[in-house]
Amino acid sequence: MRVGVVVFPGSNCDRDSAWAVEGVLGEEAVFLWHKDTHLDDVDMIFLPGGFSYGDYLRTGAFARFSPIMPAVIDFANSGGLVLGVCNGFQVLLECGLLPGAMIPNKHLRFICREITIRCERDDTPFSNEIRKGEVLRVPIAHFEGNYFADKLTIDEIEANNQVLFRYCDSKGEITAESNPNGSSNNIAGLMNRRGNVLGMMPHPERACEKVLGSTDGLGVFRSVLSFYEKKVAVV
Amino acid sequence: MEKTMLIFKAKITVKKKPSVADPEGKTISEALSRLGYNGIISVRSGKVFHLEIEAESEDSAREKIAKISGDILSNPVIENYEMEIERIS
Repeated sequence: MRVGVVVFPGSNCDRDSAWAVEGVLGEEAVFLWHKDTHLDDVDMIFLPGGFSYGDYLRTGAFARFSPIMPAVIDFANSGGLVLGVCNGFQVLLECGLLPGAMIPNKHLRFICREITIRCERDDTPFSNEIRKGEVLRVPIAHFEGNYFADKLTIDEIEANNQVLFRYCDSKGEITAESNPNGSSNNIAGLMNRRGNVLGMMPHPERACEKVLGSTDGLGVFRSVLSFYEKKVAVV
Repeated sequence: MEKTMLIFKAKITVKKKPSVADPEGKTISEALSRLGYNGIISVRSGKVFHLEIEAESEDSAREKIAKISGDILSNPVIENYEMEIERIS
């Protein structure tokens, strides 16, 4: 599998993301510069965390207009796998590949710590190697991770089972106390309706090796690889 | 003959929609009460942009600014904007 990691000016998780793909998963990662207009035949797009364009105006607001984004949007619309982590999630919201928006955290603090999330589905390209209801320990690091959408949109998202991860306590209970940033319905990871685009605030690439304190993020990478291998086998 | 370009000054105010939580506004409001400023009913934070723009007419300037405000300066999922425009030459 060949994964394209998009590098915007201000991205800072691009190397970690590529390492998770190459160093840990053993697959190929290529960097795609934000000024590129072609995706270099990749099988998946990874929009990494960071502060693209200094997060000026709104998080992800300028990244959305990068020369590479029309190709990323075409790729997503034709069913290609797109994973956006943290700032990458914010970019997906700004460009409309995912519904809703991010507002500043409830307590106006930059939160950088390990949290727990519950996996809500085991039948998606991003979670087929994770058990439904499994609790994962993964770090978050953001100021604007308070997911917001109007009630109609939230109802639609829930009706279509688009929430893949929710903030939970260590036992997997979805509680107000375990919601670190105030996100609607404890949403930590959200897919589009088709299920080929995932945005998540927690950083799976920072939880892929024992030395990092948790290997729970690996499930996301193993899942996309397994999805890819099955797809290739069918073709 | 070349068209004369006019210059306009615009002020665009971007506000969060009433249904969207505003942690910053809430914190300011609480701080004001704590500091003894009585009678503060609510505070909402927002952003203001000042733009100077060249256009053939006020209508065309308005059209351009509306597009910029709706597409870039604000995110219609969570924000509304208002604009004031004034001809300066």
